[in-house]
Amino acid sequence: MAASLHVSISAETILNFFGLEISNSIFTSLIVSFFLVGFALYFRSQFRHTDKPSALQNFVEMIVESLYNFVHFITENHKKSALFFPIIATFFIFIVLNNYLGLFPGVGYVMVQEQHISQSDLSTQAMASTAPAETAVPVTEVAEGEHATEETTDASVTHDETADSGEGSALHKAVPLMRAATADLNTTLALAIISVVLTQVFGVSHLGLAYFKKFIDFSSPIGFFVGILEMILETAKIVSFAFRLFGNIFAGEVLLAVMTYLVGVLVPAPFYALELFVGFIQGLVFSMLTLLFFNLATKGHHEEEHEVAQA
Amino acid sequence: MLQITIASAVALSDEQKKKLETGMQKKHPQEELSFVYQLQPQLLGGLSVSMAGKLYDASVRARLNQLAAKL
Amino acid sequence: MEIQLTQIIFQIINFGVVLGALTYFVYKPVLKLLNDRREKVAAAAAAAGEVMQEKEELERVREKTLVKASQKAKKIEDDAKREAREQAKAILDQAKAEMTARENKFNAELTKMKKEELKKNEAMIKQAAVLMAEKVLGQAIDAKKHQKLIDEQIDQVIESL
Repeated sequence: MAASLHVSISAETILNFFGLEISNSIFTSLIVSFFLVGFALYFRSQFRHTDKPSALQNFVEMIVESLYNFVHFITENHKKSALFFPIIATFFIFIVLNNYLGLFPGVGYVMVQEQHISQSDLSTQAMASTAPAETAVPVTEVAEGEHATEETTDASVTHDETADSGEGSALHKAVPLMRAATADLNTTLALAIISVVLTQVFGVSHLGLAYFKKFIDFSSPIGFFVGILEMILETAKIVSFAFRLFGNIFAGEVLLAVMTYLVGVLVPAPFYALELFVGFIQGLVFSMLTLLFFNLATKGHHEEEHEVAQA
Repeated sequence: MLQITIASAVALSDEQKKKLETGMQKKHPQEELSFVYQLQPQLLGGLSVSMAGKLYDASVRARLNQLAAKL
Repeated sequence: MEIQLTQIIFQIINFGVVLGALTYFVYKPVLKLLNDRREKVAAAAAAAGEVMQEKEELERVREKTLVKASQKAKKIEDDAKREAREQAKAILDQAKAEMTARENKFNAELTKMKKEELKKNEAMIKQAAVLMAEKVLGQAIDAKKHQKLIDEQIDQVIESL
């Protein structure tokens, strides 16, 4: 049976955990998190304060040193570097690993049955064919062999086929077990919120309440207007961070899936390499922008104008 | 008495002797003269007469000696 | 497209946990290690710098001493050479003087000897001449001449004595 192409903008639930939905992207992200925490613990046990580190420690040292130098290059201030570095480094590592896990063979192909929230479960029959379950909103399912009826991306998509199969019971659809966490808007929004909120926090901690003078400026009408714009800008940053990352990774997934579905495995190979590149770059971009905004926020207001003008 | 010694390379003849003695006696009449005749071939010729400390050497040898001394 | 607040919050917590774990178990120890290493290197470099300076100082002192020493040595050498030359000259002169003196003495003696020889020769020649004359005369004077001589001289004798 030919593989079917499965593309979905939002992540699907795979598990119901005491009322909490675990989506496949959360599952993937948990894999990465467990790996990182486990690695941290393991590293701690292996760490030796010596000038002749083991291969693993050497590798970790290399990464840490490069990232720290990268941070320090922008801040030029050891105190700030020490403060920013853990967050920036973790952003980078977290995002890149999650991006890469999405490219891992099997991710997106291993399928399970989709689980729905208990709400929709209860009112399955009633809602099944009309109001789609919350976690299965815009699903575009193109199943070869099956007569794929409407390939629509409307919000009120039909689940004709599926309604056929398990009537009276919960909707069962085959969904991927794993999905790149960063291809889930929730995840990227979370990261973006962390980044922007931390920027404000650092701004206040370094400049005191004077930081907010950026947004509330009564010196002149134009100043006031600019202040409002600044506020909008901050919120816009959240959106831009989130969507930049999400868009890149998700689009990459779709690209690979469609190519593989259409052409086989060899032709998409260069695109696979492209995705590796993109995954790395997006992690770098997210971290670097966050770092720049951190740095801007902790500098004086008068300097910021110059920086912004350059940027 | 005065002795007069007459040395000559060859013996004097008697005449010569007489002549000599007479002459000398005439010169010194008061004296008593004694004449001694010596034959000395090394004189080579001539006479060498000595008397009381005075000598009259006219021998050839004497002249040779003088010559030698002058050389 | 769906945005669930619970999921967002979950991811925020998720990230927070990873951040904490990495910071505490990886960043802190490694950064401290790197810092210590950098300080060690800086200290070593500073120490090395000091050592280099000291070395340079020593080098300079060494150079100076060397120069002084070599100057002294040269002076001594020159003095010695000069002295040696003078001595040699003195000895040479002395030798020459001796030689000349000896030569002169020799020459003088030679001359003396020559003179003496000459004199001897003269004497011998004279003697020889006289002897020859004697001989000749001895033979040349015959009896008649003898008598004649004697006759002549008798008169002179009588006259003188």
